[in-house]
Amino acid sequence: MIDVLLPEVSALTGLLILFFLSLSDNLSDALARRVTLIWSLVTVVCSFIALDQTGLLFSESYRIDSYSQLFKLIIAVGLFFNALLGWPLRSIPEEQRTEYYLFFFSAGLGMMLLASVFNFLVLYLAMELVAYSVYAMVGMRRDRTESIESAVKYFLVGAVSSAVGLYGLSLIYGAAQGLTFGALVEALRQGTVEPRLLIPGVVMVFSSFLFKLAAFPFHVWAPDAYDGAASPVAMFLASVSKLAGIAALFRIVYLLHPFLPRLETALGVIAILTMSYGNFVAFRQKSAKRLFAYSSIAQAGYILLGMIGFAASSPQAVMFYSIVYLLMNLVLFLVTLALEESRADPEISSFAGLYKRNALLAFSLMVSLFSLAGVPPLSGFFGKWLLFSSAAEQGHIWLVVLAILNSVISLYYYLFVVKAAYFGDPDKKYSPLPSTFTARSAAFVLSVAIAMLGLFPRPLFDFLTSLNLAQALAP
Amino acid sequence: MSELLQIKLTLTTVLAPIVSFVLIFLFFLRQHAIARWVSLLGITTSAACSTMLLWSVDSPAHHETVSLPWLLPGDINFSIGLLLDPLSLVMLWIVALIGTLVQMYSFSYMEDDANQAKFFAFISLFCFAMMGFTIAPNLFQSYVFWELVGLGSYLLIGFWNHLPSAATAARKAFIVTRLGDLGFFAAILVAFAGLGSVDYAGMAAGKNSLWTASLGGLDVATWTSIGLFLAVAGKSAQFPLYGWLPDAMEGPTPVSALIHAATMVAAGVYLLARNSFLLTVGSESCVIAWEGIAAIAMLTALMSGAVAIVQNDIKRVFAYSTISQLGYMVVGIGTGAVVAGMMHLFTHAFFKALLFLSAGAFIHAAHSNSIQDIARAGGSRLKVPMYSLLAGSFALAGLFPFAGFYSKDAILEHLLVEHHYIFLAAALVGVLVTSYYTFRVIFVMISEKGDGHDHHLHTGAWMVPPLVLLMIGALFSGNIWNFAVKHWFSIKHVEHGNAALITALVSSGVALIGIYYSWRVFYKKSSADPMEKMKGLANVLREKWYLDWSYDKLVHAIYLPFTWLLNRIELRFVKGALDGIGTACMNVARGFSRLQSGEVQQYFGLMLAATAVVILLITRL
Repeated sequence: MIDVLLPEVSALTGLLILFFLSLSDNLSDALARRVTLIWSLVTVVCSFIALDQTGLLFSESYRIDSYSQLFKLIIAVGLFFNALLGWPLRSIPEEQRTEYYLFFFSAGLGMMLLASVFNFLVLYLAMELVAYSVYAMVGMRRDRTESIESAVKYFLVGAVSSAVGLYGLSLIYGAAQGLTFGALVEALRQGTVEPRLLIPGVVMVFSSFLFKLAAFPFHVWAPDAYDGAASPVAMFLASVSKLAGIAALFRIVYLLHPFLPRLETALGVIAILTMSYGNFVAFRQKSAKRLFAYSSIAQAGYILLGMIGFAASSPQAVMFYSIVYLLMNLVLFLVTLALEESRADPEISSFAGLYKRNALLAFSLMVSLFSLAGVPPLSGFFGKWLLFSSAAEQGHIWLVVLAILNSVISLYYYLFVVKAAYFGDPDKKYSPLPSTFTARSAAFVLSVAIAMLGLFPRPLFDFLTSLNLAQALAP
Repeated sequence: MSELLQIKLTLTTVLAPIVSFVLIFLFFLRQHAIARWVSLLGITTSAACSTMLLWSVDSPAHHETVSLPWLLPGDINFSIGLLLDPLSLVMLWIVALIGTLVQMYSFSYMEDDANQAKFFAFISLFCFAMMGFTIAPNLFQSYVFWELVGLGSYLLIGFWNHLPSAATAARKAFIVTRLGDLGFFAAILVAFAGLGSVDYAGMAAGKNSLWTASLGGLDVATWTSIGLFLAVAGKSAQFPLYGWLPDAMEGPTPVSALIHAATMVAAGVYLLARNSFLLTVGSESCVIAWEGIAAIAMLTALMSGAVAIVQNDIKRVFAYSTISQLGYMVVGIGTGAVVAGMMHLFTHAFFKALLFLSAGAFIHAAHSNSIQDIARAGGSRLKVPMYSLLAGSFALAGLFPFAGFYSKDAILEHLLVEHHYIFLAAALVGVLVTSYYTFRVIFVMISEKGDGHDHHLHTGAWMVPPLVLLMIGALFSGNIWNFAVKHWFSIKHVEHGNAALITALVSSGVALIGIYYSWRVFYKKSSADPMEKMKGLANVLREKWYLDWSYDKLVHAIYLPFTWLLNRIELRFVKGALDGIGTACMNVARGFSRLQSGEVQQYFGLMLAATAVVILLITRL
């Protein structure tokens, strides 16, 4: 059985290693980081080995299929890059840095579980595992009082959201007489479900997902948390944490949509509201991290829109965009972290003249921003095209039109950053921006990947098609 | 040769120069010495690989396409790939070979230039673009590289961008050829709409009924041909779009040699040859369209040949001669003699590169472009350039045993055999004019013995080997084609008696008359310059048939008022509307931001209310 659960076991082992390491008082954070780096690489390898496993475990509560395994691999790669680039943890007190890596793995384990959950209770537990780890990570920053405030707010809002979700779960249990997804689908098929119990329950569970994805209007925590948290934590939130939410939500949406057609419309409207909200409010941001927070809200909207296209290509589209989304956000935060070396909290104006200060970082930033805006031929364009066309195939033409308009609007603030980086003059004394070899090579590799996946999307797309994701998602 | 090896060699050939380009741009922009060697190494690799590839062309029918799907999905399928057949492999070889010689020559020519690393980077890019174009298996990929060729020429013609004339010439070259490219784009759309495929193989095998389907009066094949010819007229400088080519002389001379011999202008002729199957698939109207193409080309050949008579800038003489020779090639291809047209492109590449490089040697030594100035500075004492100028001139005039003799006669012979008598007569007039202006340069040069001052004239060390090699090419490339290359193409041999002998004798005779007359006027000075007598004609020729002048008028009369109008509309309406949208967006943003109040209670309210609203909407509706 261990080979079926290899990624989870690996993350759990990492968690235990870091736990014992953190018990020691005089452990340097550099060592903890190195262990995390190595172990996250091990997790990547484990996830890769376990890629073609299948199974339904623990009395049908945990499902291993190509969909979950691929998401685990993506999450593992995301964890690895976070460990690699999320460094140094300047604004986190030294004695807590080892614990940061401890929570890093506990959140990682939760995310792996989320990709595979097939039971509402397990779902709840996995979500809480991720949530509590992330609350702790966000709250670790101690150099500003606002960040503690934002961590507390995040926790409070999160607690309400998870209470709503838990209540919804109890309603579903009442309606379906069971907690596994399979039981619910079976009950729906037989028509023995009381809709007045089920629908509020499902909506409430979804609301806690939408909270995780920072979809409108459950997004309120995101800008504060991104801004208040240490930048490596913001990177963690924007990249892997959101992907795990997408993984679980999409599985449920895909299972339930034949029985609850109106859910599709509701999610579509929320998708449009989310992207519009993210894009519009991003206009007015001055802080880089807040801007990226709103940008990632908008991106979640695009993915939500792709989810409700239940065409055959929809799982590939969501998967493709998740991969691209991960790459793009890693680059954004990588550059932000490099800028942080010279300033406490980078604003958009601190990107000014980046081209003159560090051409490689400026270039990778540009590639990633253009890709986020969906400019061809970068992978963001292709990913969005897949998402939108799968929604359009389902007949949501108007939603797609609105989404395209949103892409146009988003170009404005993305270009604003590019403009600052390329044409702005660095303020006062301009100095070359140092970057580590790791950051440089990661920036190069990631931006090349972003470009190549756009120019030659076929191999990845064919690979995703060959995984037969739609079948994996079917009950 | 195995297929895989062949593909690898082709990829190496094409990609080596772009690797040089990237390397120079990333690392050696200030290390000139390294940059030029990197560049030369790249193009030499291409030359070596493409030479090896020539051995793989063993049978006439050899034809191979490798392609990868590129853009996704649906019914539209664009692919990128390689097309390997005799036509593309021979062309690839010419580009790589001439590219190598020109770059070698540039070592001396550009030795004092402060930006020479950039020059070598650009020239590598240019060669890459042309080779990518050569092996493209479909119209779409051709189009991409076609535009890259245009970009390369723009960068190189305007290389000395501190000179306003060079910047203007570069812009002119780019814009005028872009005009023609609209035709290319239209041709792609038409072919795609009609055939559902833009693969050359697929197009050639396309059903006749698809090609002859009517589309707004004419059939698909005709529209495609017309669109493609527009593109060819731009790149290969045919009437009425040839005005950019003489101005392109503003670039460094090696660039002129490359543009005139193997890259830019050759691209158009090659495109036409590649698509010559259109002649056989279309209907009557398509055949007429190709006749029209040939007629325009013939007109171009005569018009530009006449202009060359009155030019005093040595490079401009050769520039106009290029336009007129391109006219011959297009006449050949337009009347169905694809192989003869390509043969003329092949030999012309050698002797025109030779002529430009020797002109460059004179200019480099005498610091002037004018024939008279070079003659006064004692240009005729430069041994190697003088011999190469002579060899190139003989080839250009089409005299036995030089290469131009064989290739030009192949076209003339075709015209005779296929009964295109008007074209034949016009072509013979062209031969007369060509030999007259070509030898005018030589006789003006040797009629002056220099003004006695001992100018320090010398030929750069790196200039000699390319000149000598090209001289050999100017002598033997015709024979090489006849003995080796010709058999790779599957052409049916037509029995035509004495046609070859007749055209050879007549055209040589005509050329000799031209040379004799040129000798009398410019060397012996026993006859008056005919241009002195025909002042009116001379003026028209000096004004280049008023073609540039009319473009100028057209721009002022139509284009500029139109842009003025658009500008007004833009400022009055478009900008106002856009500003309005911007302000509206900002207002929406301000409204949205109010939600982010920072009050946790309000956040709770918002989330719970949203959940409740969704539940209500789903259950009640």
